[in-house]
Amino acid sequence: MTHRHRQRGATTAAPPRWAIALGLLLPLALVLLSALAVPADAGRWLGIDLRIWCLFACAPVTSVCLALCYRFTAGSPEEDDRPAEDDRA
Amino acid sequence: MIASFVLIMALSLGIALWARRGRKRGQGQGHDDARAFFVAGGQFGALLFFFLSVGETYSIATMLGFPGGVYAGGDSFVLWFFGYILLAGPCLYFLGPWIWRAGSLYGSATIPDFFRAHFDSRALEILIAAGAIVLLVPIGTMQFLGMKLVLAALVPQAPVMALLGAAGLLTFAYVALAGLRASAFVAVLKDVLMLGSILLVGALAIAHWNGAGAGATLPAPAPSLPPAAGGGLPFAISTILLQAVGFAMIPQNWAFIFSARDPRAIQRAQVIAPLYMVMFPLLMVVAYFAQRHGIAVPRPDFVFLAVAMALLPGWVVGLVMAAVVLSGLMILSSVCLAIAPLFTRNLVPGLGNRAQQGWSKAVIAVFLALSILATQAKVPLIATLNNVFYFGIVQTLPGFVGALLVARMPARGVLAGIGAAGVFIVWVRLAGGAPGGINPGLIGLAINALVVAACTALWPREGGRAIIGRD
Repeated sequence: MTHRHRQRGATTAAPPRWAIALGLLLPLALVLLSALAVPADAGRWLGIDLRIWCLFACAPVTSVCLALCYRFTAGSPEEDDRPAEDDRA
Repeated sequence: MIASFVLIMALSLGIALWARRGRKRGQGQGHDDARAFFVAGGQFGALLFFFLSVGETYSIATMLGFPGGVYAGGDSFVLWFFGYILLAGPCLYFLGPWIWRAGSLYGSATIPDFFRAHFDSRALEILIAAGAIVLLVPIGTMQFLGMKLVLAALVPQAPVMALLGAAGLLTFAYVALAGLRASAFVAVLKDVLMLGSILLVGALAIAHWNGAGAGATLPAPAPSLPPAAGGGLPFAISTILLQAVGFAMIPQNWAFIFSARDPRAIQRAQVIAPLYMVMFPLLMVVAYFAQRHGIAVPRPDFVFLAVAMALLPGWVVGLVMAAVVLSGLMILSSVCLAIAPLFTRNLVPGLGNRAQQGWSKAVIAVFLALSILATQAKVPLIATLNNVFYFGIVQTLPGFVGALLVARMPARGVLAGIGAAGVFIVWVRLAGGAPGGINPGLIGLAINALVVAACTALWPREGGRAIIGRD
């Protein structure tokens, strides 16, 4: 087994708790809320229940949460400066 | 219709050929041949990683099975199906960089590679490799089942097995030409076509929502392709939790993660991934449009294509069918690239880089042939095997999290945990269901974690090191 020496953005610390709360627990809570808190007979649009629309709305919110986590957690000090395959393509 | 379909298939083959050129360049720079073949030598940035990753998420079951399930049974399964795919993104955002780091530390190309190297256990390697192979085989069959539906509609007069054989050959060509690089580059074409098809058919369904024929609702038969899980709210929520974390432990997802250039590329892709889920409301609208307008379908899984045929000219329907078939081919190629190294690196160790690639192609050919033959089997059996997939695949998670955090975790603890979860699922099968309507996979995962923790407390490993915090 060949061992690549540790490099290329290898982080050595766990993510901060606020990032886990924002990026993982909040989306989970929103999905559960859309299932449990929205009344089943709240109405429909284009055939789709309002509860399901609330579930769908969790997707962009999750994206924003992850973007905030990405923006405010430090990148690796050892991040690689080689061009990626899609940079070359 | 056939001409536009064939044109797209030829274009995909051309893209795979083009991807081969870049692979040779990578090898010329001194990369490990087998890693270059199976995980693209860790060269992909966020863009290619994104296309690989969403290619795995949005399979033929999403394009055909999701609207088929809505058409047949309403929105009862939408919570768990959408919920787990949505939450799989955050799970990969946080776990993906650590999987990448683990692979980087040990030069791994597969999950068993990592477990063998970290726990110094050949038994663990064999157990995980054999289990993953058994669980992955039905995934190939499901893709061929979906393609069978499309190809039979495209060329009704041709023998279906011959068409599936051609699809299998095309998959083999992708993989043999450029390994994971071909999958990544063809995935770009597939995703452009798939997103375009769903946006187009969905937008036309909305535009014609109140048009002629509205109100002629038809009753629908039961769906056959997954999604097909039943159960109430406890089952839905426990399934979301199980499959969201289980998604990070799928063998082909580890290969994708190892293909990333750095951990931040994995995280950038997960930031965008939830936005891609705009497809799900449109797929639901298409299913309800078919019901509202009385569009008859031979089976529920055909509802998306039936609406496309009703609203689009023939040559565009050919493009839509190509998108569906390409989504199946992409999953197939990634499963091929996950199964092959499980044999050539883990079950039969000691092969050189060139031998690994050669034997991998033989394994892939056999896997594709068996998957095509299995399409003749009864569908309920295949659906059952698919439900078992996540239960089995997630059982490496306690061992992986332990490797991240706990230096003293012994290999025998991980083996015992997986074994205990296996005994539990057999008991659930014999007893006829899990307590409280909870997905038995989640209970099995909890049992696994408890057994691993107990073994670590009783028989701690000497000289082990956790990955988090390691310099």
